[in-house]
Amino acid sequence: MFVLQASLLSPDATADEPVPDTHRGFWVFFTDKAGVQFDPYTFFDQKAIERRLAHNVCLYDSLDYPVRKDYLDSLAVLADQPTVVSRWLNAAHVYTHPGIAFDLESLDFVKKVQPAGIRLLPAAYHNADTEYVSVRSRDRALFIAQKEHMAAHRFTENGFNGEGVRIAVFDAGFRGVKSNKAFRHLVKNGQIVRTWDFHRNRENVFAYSIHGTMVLSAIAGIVDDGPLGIATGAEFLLARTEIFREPMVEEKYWLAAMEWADRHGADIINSSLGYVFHRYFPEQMDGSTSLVAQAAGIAAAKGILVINAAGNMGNNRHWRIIVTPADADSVLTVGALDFPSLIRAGYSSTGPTADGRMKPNVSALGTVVAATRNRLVTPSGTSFASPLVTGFAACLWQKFPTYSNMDIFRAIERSASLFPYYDYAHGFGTPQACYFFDSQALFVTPTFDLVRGDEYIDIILREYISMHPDEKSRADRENEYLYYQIKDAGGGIAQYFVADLEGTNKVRLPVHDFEVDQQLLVHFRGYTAGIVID
Amino acid sequence: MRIFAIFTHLFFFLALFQVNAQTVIIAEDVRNDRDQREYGMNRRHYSHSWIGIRFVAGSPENQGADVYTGRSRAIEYGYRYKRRFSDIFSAGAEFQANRYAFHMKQSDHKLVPDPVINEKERLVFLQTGLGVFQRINVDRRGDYIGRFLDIGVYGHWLPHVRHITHDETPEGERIRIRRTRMDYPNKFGYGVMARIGINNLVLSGRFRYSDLFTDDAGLPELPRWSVGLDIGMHPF
Repeated sequence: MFVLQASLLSPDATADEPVPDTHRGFWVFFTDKAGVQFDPYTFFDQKAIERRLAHNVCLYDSLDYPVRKDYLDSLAVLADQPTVVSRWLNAAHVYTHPGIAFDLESLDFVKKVQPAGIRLLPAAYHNADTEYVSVRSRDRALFIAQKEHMAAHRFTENGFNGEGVRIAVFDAGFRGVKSNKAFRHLVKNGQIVRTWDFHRNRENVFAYSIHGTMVLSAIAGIVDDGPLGIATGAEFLLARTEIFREPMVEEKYWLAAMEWADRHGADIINSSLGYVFHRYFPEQMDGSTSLVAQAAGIAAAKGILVINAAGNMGNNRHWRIIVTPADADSVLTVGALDFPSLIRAGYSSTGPTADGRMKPNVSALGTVVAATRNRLVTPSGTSFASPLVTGFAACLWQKFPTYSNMDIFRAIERSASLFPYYDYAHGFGTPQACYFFDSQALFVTPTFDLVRGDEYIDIILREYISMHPDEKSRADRENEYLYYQIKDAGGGIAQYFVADLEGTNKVRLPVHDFEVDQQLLVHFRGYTAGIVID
Repeated sequence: MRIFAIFTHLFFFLALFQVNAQTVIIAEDVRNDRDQREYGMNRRHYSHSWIGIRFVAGSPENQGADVYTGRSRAIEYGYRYKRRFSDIFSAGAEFQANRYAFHMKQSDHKLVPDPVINEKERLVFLQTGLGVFQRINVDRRGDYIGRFLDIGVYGHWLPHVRHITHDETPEGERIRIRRTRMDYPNKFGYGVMARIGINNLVLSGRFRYSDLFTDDAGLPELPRWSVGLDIGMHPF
């Protein structure tokens, strides 16, 4: 009974009363969990237990132990009832007067008090509605590309559709999922296992917003013309964590949803949101400062693959960095590609992280054909690149069920179109399913030579590029780009470039423009080579 | 696409490298992004322009200076510098210029600027001045303005004042008379100001301590209070 009462992470234990204007949200972190009891077999969903056992994750992790009830009771006397309690962070979110909040810090059992509340930027860039329920002819190329750009047919041809993989989707609402026939198979087959609205503390999430509907369709939707996403056989946990009208409270919902997803056996979490300047500075995008990044790290440690959109701040000159929690080391961060150019979409946030780590990890199309309540639309944003990779990950996990979450993470990176080359706009490029099916895909033949002269470094392509870019097919276009970068002696990328080649087979770079020990790294048509300037 | 950044980097790229028949689509210099900045909305230094409108509020102190409160207003432009001292406290200075028009009610008691009854009449003050303020921010925040309270003082100079009347002669001819170079306005003034704001949107109020008219003129004082809305010209 004690355990159940203290598990305030479960939404039924949260307070839902009007908050006085003078009160603000605060996270109160506790010092310990001494003396609490925990039974994983009653707390966790069977699938969550199976995931832990499969990936050698301890069932009795102290992070999963409930927060001490006496601490919560004491807190409730001094402040309002906690609205969310996080086991992982050993913390409670309360509304109280700022003067009282900082007095709480003097309590013996309180480790620290931190102001809460983050504005959320849903990573959807725009939404071009159409009035058609089937894919319009002019959208057919996009409809095909959103899967085939990842060579996803190799999964479907071989019978992989994410079956047996449980995906948690955090979003603003899933309006129309029950009515749009694009999701009929999910409803009919009981593939939507659980839902929870963290704002209203109830199960119904099928209202409020179509953003989550579009995201879900990019993972698992099916229309008359074929599948919109590739993980049509996966199971889903749908969480409403984003509240557009109350944008300062979503962080606590996101944290609570992480623990909820873990408890109910999620293998993958798809989150299409990011927190930016409202609470943080760019230098804090280091993967450890924000609470959501910390929580994402804990989820990864428990065997969950967290996939997050890179964010849509790419055009914002005041925020030239990735968003959080996409900055977390163990989060698979997905950038967006423009269609049909297949290079980084302007809105897609770029790396590196504040501490210089590579982000995003991979890229996928940022414009997709997606289902809403009763029609198909073509929205853009990293929100829609992320679910494409989520579907890919689900199929991959079905193919390799013994892989851990980080095995899947690394496999997706390795399969990507630019690997081992990467830059801060595209990561390792777009994941390719053929990597896991075609042994030939593992062998790469040189496509260019690097010739170091006294004055110049020449990049000489082995094939002359004669076609004008406009005459190239979309499929060829990405292959015609020359990616190159200059790395510092320490290994960080100083500059990176993408060039479209036409009518040439040689690029010449002056040696004297490099610093000693810098490295030139070049990628063309799957082949990567470098040269160190000595 | 970050057009400005692309063109800047493209220029940098072209200056450094010889390019043989290639179109550079993306050129990013990451080193610039790694610099810690001192300038920003919640950094040590920040400055921005603003525009605003303020309306006369309250009644005149003495009879004879009644104005139409809705129509009597100031259109403002300003430039503000803010120096951050902590997450809570900042201070700043600002330059502002405005056109402040008082639309006079025409009544038997009217005294400003003269007792003559006109069809329409207004006094227009073109002002420019400086102010200093103390800012108190509410809530911890990232690199944006957030919620704040400003309290400050200002001084202004009135380089130009117009007195404009509209009348109609018995013959039906409309007459507009504009008078300048009057000797009754004070050239300088001062007052206090307060603002509350959320990011770009700011509610502002001012109280003018100084008199608009010279002692020699013996005119009743126009309303001293004004309240209005400013819009900060910064990204968010």
